[in-house]
Amino acid sequence: MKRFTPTGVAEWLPDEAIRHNSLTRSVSDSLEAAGFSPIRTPVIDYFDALSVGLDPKLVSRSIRFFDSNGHLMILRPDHTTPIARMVANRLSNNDDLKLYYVAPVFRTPSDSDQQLEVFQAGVEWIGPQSASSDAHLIHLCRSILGKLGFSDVGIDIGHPSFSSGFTDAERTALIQKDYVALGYIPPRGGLEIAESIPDLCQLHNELAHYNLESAVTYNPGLISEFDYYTGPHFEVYVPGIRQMVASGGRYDRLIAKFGYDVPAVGFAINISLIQERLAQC
Amino acid sequence: MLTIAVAKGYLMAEAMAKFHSIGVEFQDDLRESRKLFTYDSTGLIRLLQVRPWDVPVYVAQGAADLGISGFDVLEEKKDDVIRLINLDFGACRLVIAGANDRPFDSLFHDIRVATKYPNATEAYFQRLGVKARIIKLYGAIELAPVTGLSDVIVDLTATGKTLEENHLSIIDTIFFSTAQLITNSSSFCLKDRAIRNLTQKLNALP
Repeated sequence: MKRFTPTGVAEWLPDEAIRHNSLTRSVSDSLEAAGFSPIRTPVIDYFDALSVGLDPKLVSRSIRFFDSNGHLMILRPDHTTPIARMVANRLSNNDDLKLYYVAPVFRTPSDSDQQLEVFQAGVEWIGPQSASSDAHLIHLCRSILGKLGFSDVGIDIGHPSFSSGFTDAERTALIQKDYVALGYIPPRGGLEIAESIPDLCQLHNELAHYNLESAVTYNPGLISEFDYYTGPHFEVYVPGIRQMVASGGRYDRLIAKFGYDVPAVGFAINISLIQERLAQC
Repeated sequence: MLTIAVAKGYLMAEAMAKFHSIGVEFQDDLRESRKLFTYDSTGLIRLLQVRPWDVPVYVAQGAADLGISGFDVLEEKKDDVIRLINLDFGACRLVIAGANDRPFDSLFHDIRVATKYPNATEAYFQRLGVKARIIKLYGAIELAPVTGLSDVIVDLTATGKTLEENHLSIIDTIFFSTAQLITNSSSFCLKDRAIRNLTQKLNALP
């Protein structure tokens, strides 16, 4: 008989639970102050009811099982997909929705990422399709991390257009982060890297309103975790945490897969990583 | 500061020579002591000596910013690392070998294959369309066919000498391998300039 929990799930004694609650309360307060409203999606769902919008990489990392009636079930592997469905089903009369959540997602742990239950705090801004909304969310994400004590952040910005000119072999090399096979190391830098992409030029101008234009780097080698991004997407790293602490981007075609054609942008912060880091300080 | 994990053994010697050529001198020669880490003369680079199979683990988990690892190890373990450049040393190849009289067309259904590289072996036999029974060993693979533990082996060879001495000959080459310089997404984002500088210097060597 096993005595302990599986690797990668959260079991907290009161002091840890208190730290978690105060961390998530601080993030929730910031998000509500920015005009976002809380929502909740279920932990357990029908696989069929989500699969149309789920990224294949997420499906392969998801935890699935049969219920006693033989339905294939899934533990929520991300928030964006069930929120997209909820918006299409129940909120399609609204063209400017600011939603946020603080809740875990569930993924099969791997050697390099041992978290099974990952607490995330994130937002989805549904309706506007503008560089100013993208910049606003990058600013919001950074300011939340700043409030949590991470003032020194690296923000890498990618765009699907970067890879539109690539061959399949080059794309594969980029996805596998194999720059030896690619033949060169993709450059990373300021606007000069992004000049050919109008979306990123506009984003750059908007980021200047937040004095963020020099805090970000553009990276053609950044192939997003998920295929659903249709515009600028970003990853955030901070010193002292060895994995990506936050990521997000524009996904204008995901909600349409559930029957409501509306653009959207969002991000998620990995609260589990931050909580672990803050406990060490 | 940059932390670099290098595989103990033949890659360490070559790596030290490369670092010397670009003007990076370490305080200790890890090959001649029991120390497992040392700093360069500026104190800005820390060198770790780890087991070859552990290099990508240190890098993927961010305990090291950079690593020097054989292609064979990267290919077998598929850790989440960024492969920056090929370093032209540590050349060898992964081969399938059998008793001297065994030709290529004798790779039969359900063949028993002893190897330290089960994933590369599995992928090879999948491509070949032959079902193999893989026996994972940790060393002295050449003994397996001699003792009847397996029909053939898949192993790394540089000169072919060990195979020859154990009456084995190469049936096919699965891939060629050299050392590669690797990093992780977090280090590469936060220490972009330092990593690119070092990479450029290593790449510019003749």
